[in-house]
Amino acid sequence: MVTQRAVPVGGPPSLDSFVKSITKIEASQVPGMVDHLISLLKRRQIRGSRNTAVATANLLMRVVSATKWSHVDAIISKIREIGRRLTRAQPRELAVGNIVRRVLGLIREEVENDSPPPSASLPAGTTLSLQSAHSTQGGVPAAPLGQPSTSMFSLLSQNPTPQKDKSSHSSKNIKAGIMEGIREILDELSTADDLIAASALEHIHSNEIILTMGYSVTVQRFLLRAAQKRSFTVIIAEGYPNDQDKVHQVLSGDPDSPGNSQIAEDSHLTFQQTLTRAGLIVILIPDSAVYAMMSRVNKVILGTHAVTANGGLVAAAGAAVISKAAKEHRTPVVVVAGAYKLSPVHPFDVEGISEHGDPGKAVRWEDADMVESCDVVNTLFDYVPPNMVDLYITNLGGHAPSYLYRIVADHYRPEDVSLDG
Amino acid sequence: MPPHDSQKPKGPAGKEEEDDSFILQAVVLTDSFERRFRPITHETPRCLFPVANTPLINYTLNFLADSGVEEVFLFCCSQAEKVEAYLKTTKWMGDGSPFKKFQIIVNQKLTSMGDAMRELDGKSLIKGDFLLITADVVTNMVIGPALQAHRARRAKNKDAIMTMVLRESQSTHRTMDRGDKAIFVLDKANGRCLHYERILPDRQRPFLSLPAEVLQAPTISIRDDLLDCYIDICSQDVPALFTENFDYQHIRGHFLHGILQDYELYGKMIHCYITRKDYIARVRGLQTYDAITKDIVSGWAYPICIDHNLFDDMDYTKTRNHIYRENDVTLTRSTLLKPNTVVGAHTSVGENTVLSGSVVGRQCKIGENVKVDGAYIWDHVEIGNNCEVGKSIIANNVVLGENVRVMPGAVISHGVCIAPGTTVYGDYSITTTNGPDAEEEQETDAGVVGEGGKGFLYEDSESDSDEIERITASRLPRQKRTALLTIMDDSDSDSSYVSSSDESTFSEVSSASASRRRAKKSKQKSRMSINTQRSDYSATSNEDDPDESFFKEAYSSLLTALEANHPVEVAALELNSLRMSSNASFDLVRRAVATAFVAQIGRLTSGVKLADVKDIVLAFASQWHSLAKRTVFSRDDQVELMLELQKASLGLGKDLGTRVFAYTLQGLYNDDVLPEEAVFAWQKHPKGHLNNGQEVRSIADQFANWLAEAESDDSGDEEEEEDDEEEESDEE
Repeated sequence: MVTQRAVPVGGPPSLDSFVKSITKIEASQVPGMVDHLISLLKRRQIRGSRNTAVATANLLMRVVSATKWSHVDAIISKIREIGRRLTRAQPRELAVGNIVRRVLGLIREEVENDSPPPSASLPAGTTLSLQSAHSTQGGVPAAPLGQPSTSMFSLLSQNPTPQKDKSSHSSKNIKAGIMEGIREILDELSTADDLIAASALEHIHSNEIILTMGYSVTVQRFLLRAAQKRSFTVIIAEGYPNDQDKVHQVLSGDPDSPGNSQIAEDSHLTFQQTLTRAGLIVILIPDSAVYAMMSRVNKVILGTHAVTANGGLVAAAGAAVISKAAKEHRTPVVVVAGAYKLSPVHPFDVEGISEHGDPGKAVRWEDADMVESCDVVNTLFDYVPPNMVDLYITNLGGHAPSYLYRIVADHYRPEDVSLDG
Repeated sequence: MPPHDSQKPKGPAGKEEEDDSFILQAVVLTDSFERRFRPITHETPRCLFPVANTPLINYTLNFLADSGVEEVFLFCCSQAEKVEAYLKTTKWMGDGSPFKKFQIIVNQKLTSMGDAMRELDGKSLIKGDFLLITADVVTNMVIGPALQAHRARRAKNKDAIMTMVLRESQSTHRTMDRGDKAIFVLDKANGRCLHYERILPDRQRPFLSLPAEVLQAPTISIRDDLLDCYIDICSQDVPALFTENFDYQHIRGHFLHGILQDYELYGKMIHCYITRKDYIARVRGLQTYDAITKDIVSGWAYPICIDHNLFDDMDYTKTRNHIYRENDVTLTRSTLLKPNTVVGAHTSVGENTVLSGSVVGRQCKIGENVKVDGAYIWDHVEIGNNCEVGKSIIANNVVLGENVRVMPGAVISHGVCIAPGTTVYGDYSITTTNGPDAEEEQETDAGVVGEGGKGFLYEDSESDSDEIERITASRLPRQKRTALLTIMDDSDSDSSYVSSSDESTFSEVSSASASRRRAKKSKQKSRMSINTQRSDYSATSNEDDPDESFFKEAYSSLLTALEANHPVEVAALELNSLRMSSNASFDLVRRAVATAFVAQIGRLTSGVKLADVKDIVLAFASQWHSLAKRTVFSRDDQVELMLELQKASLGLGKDLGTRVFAYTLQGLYNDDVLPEEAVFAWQKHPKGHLNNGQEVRSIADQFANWLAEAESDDSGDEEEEEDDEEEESDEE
């Protein structure tokens, strides 16, 4: 038997190597993979909402398929346990907890669907999921999902296997259903950006001036889509010190840049066309110039790391300054984020929500005097309160901040909001 | 929009599969073979020192796990049982270990890195390129790029046997170990290391001696800003070379130096991989312990951060200003935690106590009104009310009574009790044991720890306690030159140098004749030396000149060998190892050989009739000629040797000296050490006529003249030799 390497020779382990190894392992090695993901999260080797979400979904799929259970409570408590450990390992990656809760909700739904007769909304949900699967394969932009009020939850939890007899309350059927559901979550993760981009034309009009910040695949795709039909101006704040290099590389169109290969690592995404090649007018500004530029800006479009239940953002450092400036100028702030970034967690500890990154990005470690005499703090995230945001665009469509509670309720079961205990 | 899938890069995946047959192995040395952390290391080996409350070895193993190392060989020497017992409790050896194989090799007899490498070679565990590292390295780097560079070089040229991983830094950086800085001379084009020289902290020496070959490279860079943590990617040849040269102990001082110096012999090359973005540091002494802890606390080693809880039992949360608290920490309302403070689990801190810039371990009890500033307090420490603790190390289970003051720089080892009201001064190292080897337990010294305390001042058995480097003072570790001298003196066996620690054999750097002034660097270096407190060294002024001290050592060791009739090979090996360890030039070696020869001949011939001198000398020369031969490589060297012999012979007086010199020359000529061209060159050399040189020349001159005649007469070499012998007997 060829044993699979968890870490490539010379390292570092990445999402790629993790996903590759998880598909090949034996059932007995699954607990080891949980530990492995925990250590990857702790060492920040898998980072970013999408990557952590993909890793978590893959892991849970393997856990579900490898676990034998007689009663459904067993698998639920097992997944809760794993979720607790994962979220403790990296509490700032809210997407990890989101995926765990989604899977828990799936299982509960599956059990409930299994006992009572199937609901009436089944056919509609099936078509929708087929549609999204189709769009994934062909890379053709899918039509925006029609009814935003359709419960995402029921959509994902549909069991496409035909036999839905009341008698077949076996774990095998449930298992297949859960697996299918997780697969759809993975599909959703890979298509979310496309679906968000599909509504770009509704929000970006010709000759507008759009301000954005740093380096976000979602935002770039959103702008690219709009650029196919409209010509407008984009002002990009460079996001010093954490995103600056990537932004520069992406804007200079260097296909071999680490920034671009980073995107390539994401499941189905490749950022081939840079904004400049799409024929837009792109202006790169330092972060300090944001306020000065704001008076001319028609719209601010921000990507985000996570969205909390109250509609607040956990976004790359600098987002708070931009949204504050936008507020002063009454410029609308639009946030683009996949639904998987939406978390049922409330930001009680605003300070603890942010992570302190590598100070070496701001001050070189070689600088002996600075290192000796200064404390350098490089905060990775800002918290942006919900009143600073005017509109959220997710893969389900556009929502006002006040409407987010509804999406949260659709996605997560109240009993799973807290994974503790 | 084009389909995205087409752009997915195939590169990384393909490469990984190619590498599948390659297993990355790592060799970890838990023992540093140094004594810098005494007395604490009597009870806790260095690799288990808590750095930011985590035993040091975890950082190293974490690095290996990240780098995709699959097999780890851990060499343990002193206190191996403690290291092993600790590792068994961690994930590294338990289920879910990231390593496929984790083998602990215990050998109490190891005394240096060289021994470990020889043992490694003997066990033939190594299958390919491997990573050599000591268990006291903290790094967030990933070895991948360095490993790829190494393997690419090796694929092209099998002689590129080793890659040293270095971090660009500054020579004044806090993580630079002040006792072990070095200058690397690199070929700028390919990173090959051409020359390596240690910067000694105790001497102003604005010179760098470059061998002439170094200058053949089109561009060289001379760097003193490289932080060397002894992380090496080695090929299998490296342990084999250690076996071949069983006098190699230190990987830099001996191995690197030897390989560079004997390039003609081995033809091996050593390269450097210099990184500019990763954090790499190694705990070498108290100064670096302090620096690295600070770096980790303030996040420079990201993502090796305390609040990431990387290791098994950690549970820290971080708040603003780099304040870390583990679970179940009891603080009162009036407790003040100032920036850069770490408090471990189950520790309680009393009212009005201020902690700043300090690391407090687990299950400590800190009383009321205590001020702790910059201290490293390990586990289970009790500190009474109203204490004041400065920048110091307080090891496990220490008890400080009330009103104790610990001044900056103090080291309080395990289990010490300080009685209430006592002041611990900054140059104190207090311990309760002199180590497992100590013959008798020392009595508690009430003058130091107060009435009712427990512990005494630690005295290093080989030198005084001053040599332990202080955290705050820029004082430097004193070089232990004396240790080597004593060992060489009372040595009977030829392997005695093995027992000296690497620090002691690594003390001298000679100013070789070819030294070149480094205009740019010298400025920087002299600035550094100003920081040095030179007062420490006043006692050792007689050793100020390294050449002189090498000469003395070599001379005395040679004389011992000559007297005791050691085999020539043994004497040569001894001399060679001494030369390498001191980085001495061959000029000095020749001088030592010549002087020792003449001195020994002088002893042999004292009281003997002048007529018998010739036989004695020729017999001596035929026995020892090969030793002389090993010191001469060129015509100049040969002339130099003769001049040295001439100079030394002067000391024997005119009559004896003349004869001794001439016959030694003749003997060496007979044994092909000195060809006749060299003798002629000597004859003409102006130096030989200076300073009473004439006194001892007469017979030798005759000899040379005779050689000249024979040369003009003869045509064949073989006949010439026969002639020589005839002539010699004629002369008699």
